[in-house]
Amino acid sequence: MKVLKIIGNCSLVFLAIIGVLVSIAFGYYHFFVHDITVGTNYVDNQIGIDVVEADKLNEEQKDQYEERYFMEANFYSNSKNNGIALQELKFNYFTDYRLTSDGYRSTGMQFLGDLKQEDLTLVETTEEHANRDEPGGFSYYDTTNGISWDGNKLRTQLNRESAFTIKIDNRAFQIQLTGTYEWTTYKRQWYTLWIWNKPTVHVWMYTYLDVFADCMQAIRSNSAGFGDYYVTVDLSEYFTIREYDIESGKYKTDDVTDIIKNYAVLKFHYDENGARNSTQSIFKCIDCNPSYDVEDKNIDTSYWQERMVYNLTNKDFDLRYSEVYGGYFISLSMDTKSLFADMPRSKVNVDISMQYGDKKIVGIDYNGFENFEIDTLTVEGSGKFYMLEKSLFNSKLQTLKRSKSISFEIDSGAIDTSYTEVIL
Amino acid sequence: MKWYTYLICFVLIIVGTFCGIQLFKEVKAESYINGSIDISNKFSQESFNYSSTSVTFYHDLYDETDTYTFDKELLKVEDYNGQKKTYQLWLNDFILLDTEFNAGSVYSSVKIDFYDEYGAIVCNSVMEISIKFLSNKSQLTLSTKGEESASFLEQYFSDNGIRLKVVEIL
Repeated sequence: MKVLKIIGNCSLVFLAIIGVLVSIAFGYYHFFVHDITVGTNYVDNQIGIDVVEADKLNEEQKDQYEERYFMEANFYSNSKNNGIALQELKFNYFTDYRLTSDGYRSTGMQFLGDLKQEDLTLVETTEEHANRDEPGGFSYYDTTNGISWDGNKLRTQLNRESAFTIKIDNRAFQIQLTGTYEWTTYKRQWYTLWIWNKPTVHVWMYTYLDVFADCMQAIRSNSAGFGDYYVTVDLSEYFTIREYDIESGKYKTDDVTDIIKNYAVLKFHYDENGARNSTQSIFKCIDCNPSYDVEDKNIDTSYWQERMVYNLTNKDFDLRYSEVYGGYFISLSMDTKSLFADMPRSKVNVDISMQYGDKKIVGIDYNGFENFEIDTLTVEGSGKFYMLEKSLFNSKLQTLKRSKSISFEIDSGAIDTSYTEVIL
Repeated sequence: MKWYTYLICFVLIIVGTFCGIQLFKEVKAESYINGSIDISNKFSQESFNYSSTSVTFYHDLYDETDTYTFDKELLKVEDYNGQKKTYQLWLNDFILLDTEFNAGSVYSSVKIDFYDEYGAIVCNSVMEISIKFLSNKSQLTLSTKGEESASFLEQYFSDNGIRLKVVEIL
């Protein structure tokens, strides 16, 4: 028993000595030998990892899927004084670590006016308030699909407690506003027998107001001026980024790396105009109003359908000379006909003048205008005008206008619809 | 050994353990780079392509021609050459036939009729399109005459979006 006690005591002393040595080694390494380590996080496009590759997307899909940067901003400066000054900042992120498109979420803040950095004053707040409260004077919005936005209370809060999942290198990370700004003030004070300047350390806990003002300043000072551009901003002072550890299922805190730099792309629209209506907002709302307009509109713009109007004239036609008829027959190329056939919301009017420079137009060729819809066909000139077989077949012609001195010679099967004839 | 000797030993062992873990972390720590940012392709585009979910026309207070205009400065276009190449201009799914392709600019006009629920035309809108390819940017201007026309066009683009592109015919 006594031997065991001696062995135990010796072991304890031995471990204590090792503990002292390790502590000394740590102190030495930490304060004298330590090399600098720098961690850099680049926050790029936040497209879900399940979204198909860009070359498989059509143009519309590209617009929808290809661009989803962590930060997007919209800044109507109202330099022309034709609307209102409007500033918006949107954060695109994921709701979970799978980083798929069904986990998309965006939250944003909107300011009516021109907020500048110099307008901000450093005021100390309690940690509780700084963490929980959102900056006042803003409208906030939230969305999952990027199309419909809501600005009520049931949305993600933009405060220091919010941690967003983002994608870096197709891996999950979490980004959170944690930065602080510290400054010291000195106050002269009597201390026993001498006067000294008593230092007081103040801590300003950054909020999204600071991030917002800095982003707007970055936009305001961009070298390209007004337009749609991209800049890379340094968020190191504001945000902490933690990596998701697949094995432990937790987001890791990095307390070892000496310097951690966080860069992100800020995509923005900077406009010299003022915002006029809610369609210009990236949230499709201004002041939480989807019908916002600076003018009281009394024009009713409701309509059923629209038609893109095409007026085809002689210069648009192919010509074929006929010795039998002593003039040219007109037609449209197959490509042009199929082009119009593929545009169901187009309204095609055909204006034919029987004299085209020194060429005499005598009619419409075989299959000339078949298989696409024509609203109005107008023929001006004099003499006989021929419409050869299937020239207007399946054209659903509505109105045929002609000069008084023109007479039509229409082949059987040239046209298969009834139309209204108008004499000019 | 006295009781406080045990206490001191335990404290030293615990401190040593924590220092050991921290020392291990710091010795093993390496600089790292997560991700990358490449926006080099965001300052120019090979061909002109503009899309948006809405268009808002502005009326200049000093303009007496009742013209409503939408101006947009866009990325410069690298390889437009209206003198040597052939192009088409497309607005949404419609090709614009009356288009003038110049050395460094494109002009076109588009006419849109709007119908009410009974099939009667409620507005004829004519919109002029101007695209200028400058050395450092592209400049897009859409303009129309009259407030009614501008309002209907705004409604149309709000409903359908705008996709304007200049396509080279190879």
